[in-house]
Amino acid sequence: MFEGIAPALAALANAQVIGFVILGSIIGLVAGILPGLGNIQAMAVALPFTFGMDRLTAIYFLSSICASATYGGAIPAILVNIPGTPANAATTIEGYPMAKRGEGTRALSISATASALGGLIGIASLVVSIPIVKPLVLFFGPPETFMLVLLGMVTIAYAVQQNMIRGLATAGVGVLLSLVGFSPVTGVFRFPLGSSQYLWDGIQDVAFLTGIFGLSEAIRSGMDARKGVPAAEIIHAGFHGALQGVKDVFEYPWTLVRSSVTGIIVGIAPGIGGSVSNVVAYAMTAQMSKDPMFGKGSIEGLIAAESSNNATYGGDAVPTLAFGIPGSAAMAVLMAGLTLHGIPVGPWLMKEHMEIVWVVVFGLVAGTLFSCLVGFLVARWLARITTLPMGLVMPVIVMLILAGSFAVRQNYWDVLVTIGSGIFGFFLVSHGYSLLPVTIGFLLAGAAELAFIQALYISEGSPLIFLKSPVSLILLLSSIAVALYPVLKSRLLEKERRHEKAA
Amino acid sequence: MVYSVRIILAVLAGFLTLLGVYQHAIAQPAKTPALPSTINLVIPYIPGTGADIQTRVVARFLPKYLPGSPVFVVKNDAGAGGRAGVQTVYRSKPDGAAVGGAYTPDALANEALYGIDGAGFDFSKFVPLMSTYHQPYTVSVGPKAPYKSLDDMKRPAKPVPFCTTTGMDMSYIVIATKAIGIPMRLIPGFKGAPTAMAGLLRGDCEAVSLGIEFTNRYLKDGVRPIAVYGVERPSIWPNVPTSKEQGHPLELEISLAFFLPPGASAELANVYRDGLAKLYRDNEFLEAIRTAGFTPTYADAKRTQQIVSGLSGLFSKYAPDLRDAAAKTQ
Repeated sequence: MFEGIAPALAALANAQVIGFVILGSIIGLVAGILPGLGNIQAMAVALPFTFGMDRLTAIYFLSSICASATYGGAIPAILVNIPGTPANAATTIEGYPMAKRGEGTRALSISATASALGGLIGIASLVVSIPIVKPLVLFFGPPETFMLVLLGMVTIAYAVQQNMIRGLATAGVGVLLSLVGFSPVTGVFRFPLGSSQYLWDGIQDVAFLTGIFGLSEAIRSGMDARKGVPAAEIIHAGFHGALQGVKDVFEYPWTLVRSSVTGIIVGIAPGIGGSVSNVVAYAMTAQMSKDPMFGKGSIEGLIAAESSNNATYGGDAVPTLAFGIPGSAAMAVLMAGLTLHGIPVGPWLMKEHMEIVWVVVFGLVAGTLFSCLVGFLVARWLARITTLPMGLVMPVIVMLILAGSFAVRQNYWDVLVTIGSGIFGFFLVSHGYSLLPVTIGFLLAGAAELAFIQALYISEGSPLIFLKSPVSLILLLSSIAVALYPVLKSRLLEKERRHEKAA
Repeated sequence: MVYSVRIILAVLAGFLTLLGVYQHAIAQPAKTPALPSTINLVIPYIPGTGADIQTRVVARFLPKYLPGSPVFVVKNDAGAGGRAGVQTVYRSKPDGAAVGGAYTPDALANEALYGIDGAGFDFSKFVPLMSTYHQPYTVSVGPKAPYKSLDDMKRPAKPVPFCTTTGMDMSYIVIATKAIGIPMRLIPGFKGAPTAMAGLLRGDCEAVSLGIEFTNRYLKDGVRPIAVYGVERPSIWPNVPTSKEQGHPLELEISLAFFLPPGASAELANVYRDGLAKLYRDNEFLEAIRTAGFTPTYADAKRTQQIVSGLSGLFSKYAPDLRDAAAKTQ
């Protein structure tokens, strides 16, 4: 297990490799900041440039890009309510209200610290799981994946507890939107809406999420003729604010660990990644938190969202390195990088090329730490964006949103989807609906459907398949517990109140 | 005044002479058509797949063998089971700015399943440039499956469950099981060959049908090859009998073809063909492909056309079975 550490560390001691790790982290960070771009695009563009590098340098370079984009995506999520990547959707819910009330520096610092720690926990899980990695990967078949996604979906129970009917209705809309396009199993074209080609693969995550979060906020700012946060109202600014953010994270160790573990588990399950872990960990924390600020700029919520999405990379890397099954699209590109440099990805990678596994591990660690350090150091200057008049900032933001939406596939229809989602999001928020249920429904329903149908194909239609494996059973019981928790909590509170009255 | 008129006439004459020379020059038949400075190499697969990796190596090395050394941009137009990217190239202008790449059986399976209108392209109308990555398909079973030969698989206790992705993999399972007479049922929805292989090892199914190079990676984990769908034993599996040896002379092969949109001129196609032919003799390029774990085979445009015609016939023959299998998964 530890036999490849020495060559991997020796390579990292090389100045050229350090240079490429720094360059990769900056590329990933910038790609994450720009809406519509992320580590997948950045790595795909960088791939050809690695031809001239030796294999260890190339893998360090690509791993650092891979790890740094998610933190980059938190920056626009916090400062202007636009998730830089789909994995930062829930970050906007708590980060942006903090920035609006003058705590941008603190929020950026919380995000950087939670991302770094979450990323490290995720990577540690990868290291720890190396001896048992193959059975771990084989644990997650379609029934287990379905139960895991179900666990994520029942977190809607939290999101709807304020207003059950409204919440379920918007979650249902999210589910319906996720069903547009070809069925992943049967190939049936659903809800073509008159489109002969565009909706083949459904509504694109980036186009939808940047619209519903970012553009809807831009419309709201325009309608309110909102001004920037007055400089006098900026609190926790400067280096002091950044340090406060670091301290905040250490005040919620349980939230950090629980959300990171959620991110790791989601990462190990094939086909679902940071965008799912981000909303699931956030919603689970929301269910358990006693913070009255939840939904209005909660530190705990921000920690949950940002630690989980970064921890997912460690989980994603488990099936990728152990079995050659890419845990996410970003890992598929990293795999391509390994393959291009003659590193055979597959079950024998861990048997024959442990030094490569360690290079990926150290590359992810270096990318995470460097990007978060940069984020921490520049937080106080970045936060000043919130003091600018929104009339000045929003046109630039709108341009960035639309350009980002277009950049993913160079498709003008994606821009229209973003505009439509923006108007839809504006409508939802202005009528008191939460964006969380629609996001959870949209992000999870497709994965749930695929795993559910596949499981039934395997069992020839018998639903008992969902109860056969211990992993699946544990996840099912957890789902029931999570779903019942709000009901039990309110009953207990009622009982307490009655007791108090009686007393 | 006279002086000025003379100057004007002289300038005019000079201009007309230059114009004449220019028109004469542009009227000459171009020896090599100029290529755009940026060329999109469109593939219907996501980044990181085998086709994507090979295409990126081609994009990196090909420019030096083309006039003007154009820049190649690999566009991953994945979606709709591989139809989106092929359709994009089909609809592109035949001016050399778009080159397509796709697994031939994938594209033809889509055409057989959905028809030309449904698939959005007629593969026979593309202008073929060359094909590569030729290798036979295989059938393998999981560690606990009771089968040792194709004959065993023809007499199962229950239909043999196959884990499958879409397009090429599913089509070849349907064609082979129909031709051999193996009762089977499909377990679709696996995203990519590694996930299907994990399904096999987990016991979600008893068999998979995938390319030989890919399957070979998993033999150490207990995957057991039953047959190679070819007439000769490939060198990497000298001990695995072919389907022909087992009484079923079936040849099923992968090939990754590169092509221009319909209507591309022969001159333009020849520029690419010459460049690609030189590329597949470039040792540095061939080494890069081998380093990436692929065997760099080469078939020229004529041979590629023959492969396409052969597969078209095969897919037309089994089109009703393919549609029937697809309908059963709905």
